[in-house]
Amino acid sequence: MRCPRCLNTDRQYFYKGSRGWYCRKCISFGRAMLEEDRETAVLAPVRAGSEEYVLQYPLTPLQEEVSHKCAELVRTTSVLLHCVCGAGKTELVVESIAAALKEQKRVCFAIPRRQVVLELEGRLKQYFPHAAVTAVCGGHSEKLWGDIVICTTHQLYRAVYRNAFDLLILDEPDAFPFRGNTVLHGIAETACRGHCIFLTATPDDWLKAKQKNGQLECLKLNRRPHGHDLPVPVIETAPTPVLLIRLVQWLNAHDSPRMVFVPTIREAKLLHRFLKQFMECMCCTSKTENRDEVIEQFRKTENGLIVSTTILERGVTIPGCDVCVFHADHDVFDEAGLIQMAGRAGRTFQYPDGDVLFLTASRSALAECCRKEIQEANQCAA
Amino acid sequence: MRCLMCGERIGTDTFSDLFQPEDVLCVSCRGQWKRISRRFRFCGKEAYALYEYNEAFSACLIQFKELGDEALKDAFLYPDRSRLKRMYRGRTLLLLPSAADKTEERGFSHLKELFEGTGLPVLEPFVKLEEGDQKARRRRERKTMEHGIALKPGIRLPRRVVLADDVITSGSTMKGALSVLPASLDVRIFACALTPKPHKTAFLNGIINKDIIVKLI
Repeated sequence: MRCPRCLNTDRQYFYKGSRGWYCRKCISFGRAMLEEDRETAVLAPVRAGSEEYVLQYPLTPLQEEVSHKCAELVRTTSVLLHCVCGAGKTELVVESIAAALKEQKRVCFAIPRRQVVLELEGRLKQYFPHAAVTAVCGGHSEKLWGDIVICTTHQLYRAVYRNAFDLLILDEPDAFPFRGNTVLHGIAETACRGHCIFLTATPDDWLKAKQKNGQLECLKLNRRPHGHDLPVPVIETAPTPVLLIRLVQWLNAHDSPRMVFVPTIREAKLLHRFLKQFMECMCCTSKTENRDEVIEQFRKTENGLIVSTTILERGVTIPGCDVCVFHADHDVFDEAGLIQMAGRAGRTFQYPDGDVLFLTASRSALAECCRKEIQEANQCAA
Repeated sequence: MRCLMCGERIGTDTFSDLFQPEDVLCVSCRGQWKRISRRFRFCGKEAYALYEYNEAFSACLIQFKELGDEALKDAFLYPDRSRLKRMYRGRTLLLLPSAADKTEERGFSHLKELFEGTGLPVLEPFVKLEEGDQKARRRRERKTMEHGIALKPGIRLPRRVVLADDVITSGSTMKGALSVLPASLDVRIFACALTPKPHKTAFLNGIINKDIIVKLI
């Protein structure tokens, strides 16, 4: 038995109800019967001329090379674009998208997080002025179809999208909630009838296994467009009270926007209260209600300070910011998370360098791994 | 066996398992339901409810009713099934109605499946007159539709009955059902869950929707 939607084959998850067998593993998306007649929806063809694109900045020669290779490879196989944070992953796949659209192929851009969907919609609309770009996510689901569909990975469950896409681009497949979620993996697989492109700076075990099996071709880009090295984190280990003093010292020494990452919501609140006594400080956690506003406000201030949990670890670009990870040895952080957080620094042409500081209360192998990984990436690029 | 909600193993293989009551939910899932076992009067009738209608209970009920996960039918009454049978011996359960189109969409009568496990005789004597989704209405509006319920024509009712429903929210459905029953009957009332004070149910506003899980992300 196999669920037609999430591809689950574990018998324990199947249950026979009054209308026949169904899968309980993906029940949160509504009931999927096993022997359901699945009509493939009739979809409007891709409009001619939608493949024309304009990029805001021309690609660097390195980027161009990867972009060409990707467009070439994805005709025959799935591709993993393993690029460092801030390498311009979205721009790298624009050529592949255009090539697919030209052949009347259906393209979908799937992202684990909702906020990024809306942001990307705007960007792709700029790049493809003649294509109908449709964003589908919670609160935006009236229109489900366009030449390019941008959606959260959850939305791929829809019956319309079953076997619908020739090119499925999965952004940050190692991020929550897609990471390790077999239901979402299955749903993504059923939505794609052609090939996938995975975009990430930190492939997880699932992607690495796929690559080992030969299901995935890997392309690497270890250099940011501005050509500077990635900021390498400095690790400092001391008891927590000393770390606090060191943190204040570090914060005072920088007059750029500063992001301080902490492992837990509780710690974020405490540290926020502590730092507020010395300087202006914002706080952003998953419990913050006006999150978008806070981030917007932080963007505006030239030398703001924000205390955040891992919620801002991906997909945020703050020009010229410096990053500190407080208690980087905490169990909540994994290597991918640390690399992503360090990758917030030095992303723009104006400020290609940045400072990254890891403060740990005990020696942490993960933090050292992360530093090594970043150094290796820099060496490869050099 | 695995827990019907979270899929964790419920074993009989460790020593501490011996002291757990037999159940289809694991201890932590069941623990999130707030047990109240409350006896109270409802319109002068003797009424009984097992749980408080909290987030965990509502999540389970939504998965069962709205998403159509029939496997959950035992989750609600399993630990109490034999007690209920003893408590209501000699009585017939009268199930409150859902809208016909809802039952059609689900493909099963959720209350029937829910209460069949008790082994008590079950009857569905009511029909709902008004169409439309009841949950979508506001509380005030629901109060005015008390008489949207009628007895099926020509149905014969036993003398001793229990009006049974999954949740008593505003109580209007229950009142409507009471008002159409002949006064000569010996009626009791049972619900799996009871809504607590209104301020505690803010989480319910507008969430009873199939797309809920998708919408949250």
